[in-house]
Amino acid sequence: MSINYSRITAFIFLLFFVLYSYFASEIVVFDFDEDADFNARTFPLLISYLGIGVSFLTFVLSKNDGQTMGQYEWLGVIVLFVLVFTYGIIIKSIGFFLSTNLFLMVAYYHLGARSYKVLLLCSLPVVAGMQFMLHQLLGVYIRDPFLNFLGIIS
Amino acid sequence: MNDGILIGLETAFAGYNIFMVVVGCFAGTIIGMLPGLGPMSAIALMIPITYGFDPASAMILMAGVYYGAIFGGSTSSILINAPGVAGTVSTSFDGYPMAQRGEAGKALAIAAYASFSGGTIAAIFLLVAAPQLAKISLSFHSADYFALMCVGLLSIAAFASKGQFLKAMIMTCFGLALATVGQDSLSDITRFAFGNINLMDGISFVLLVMATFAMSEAFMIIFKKTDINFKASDVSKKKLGSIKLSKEEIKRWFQSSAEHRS
Repeated sequence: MSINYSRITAFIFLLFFVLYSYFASEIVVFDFDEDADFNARTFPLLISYLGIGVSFLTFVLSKNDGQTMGQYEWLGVIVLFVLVFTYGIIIKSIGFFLSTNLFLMVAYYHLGARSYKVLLLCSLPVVAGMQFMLHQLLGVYIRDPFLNFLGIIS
Repeated sequence: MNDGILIGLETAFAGYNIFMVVVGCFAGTIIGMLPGLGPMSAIALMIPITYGFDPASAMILMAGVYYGAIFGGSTSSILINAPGVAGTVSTSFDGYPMAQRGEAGKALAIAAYASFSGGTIAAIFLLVAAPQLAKISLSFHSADYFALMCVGLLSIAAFASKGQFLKAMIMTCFGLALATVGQDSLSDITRFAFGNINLMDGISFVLLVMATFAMSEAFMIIFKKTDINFKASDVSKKKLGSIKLSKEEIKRWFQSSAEHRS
């Protein structure tokens, strides 16, 4: 049995559905609903069994697609993934403006941009424009402790 | 019934109301282009503006905003593979590859023609068939909804390309699994939230679509950085191209639409 992308993907989904079935079995239902034919646990459990079956079949039946791991830029993707994840964590604490600017500048640098002009011009005006449009023109409230601290928005 | 239709047409074709449609469509298109803001957000944003309007004009403005926002969503789907509205996800399947071939103009034009003709035909159909449709919808019960959902899910088998059925089924199960996050609609029991208040309301569909399409596109550009057929620099250098459609292209478009329907 050779290792290929389809098998790796199927294996990841198999793990996901095994974990999902565990958490599905842990769903707490009302006492009077415990022995009911259909309760809050039934549908997730059915999905997990189907998911385990289908991903196991994919894992076993997948044929070699001729692609090797070395063909792709794994490190670049992982770094961007970490950046997105970090952005998601810090956006609430430091606000949309600062976190988005930082994220864009670091991401542009990671993607190969080295000029400070490019880094600043492709992030600051874009984020400021977006924030202005959402906050001032469309009235969509975006919580921003940083701009609030500076006294720009209340 | 005919009197009602004539009064409706008279109201719809009043100069002021046509102006409202134009303004509504323009504003809706701009809002719809922003990934994440859909027709519902556009209408919600427009509600305060319509307070002082005549009810008919306000409704016409809202309708313009709604259709504009749905069409606007197709623009981001075609140009950056980031559907801002759930309904434009399928536009990105054909539209984005066209944009990559330098035919973004044509894809946008087709989206505009299809949106206008589809909306107009549907409105005329609704005008005639609304009472009958209301009767049918009232006859739908939970078993019918379940059957309809099963047909929808099983149609994935029809859309999956040859040899990809199992992968399509994995993604179906994955989608259903994600749909179970949050409060159960029957018992209100919270599932898979792990104490996180943001997950109690479930995972937003628009958020998921953005993550699936826009983020995967960004990841793929980096992923295939060294692939000479998929250079990141080439993706942004594609021209918009002409928006004119030749007779041949219109014919092909109609044929492929008919094939998709059959």
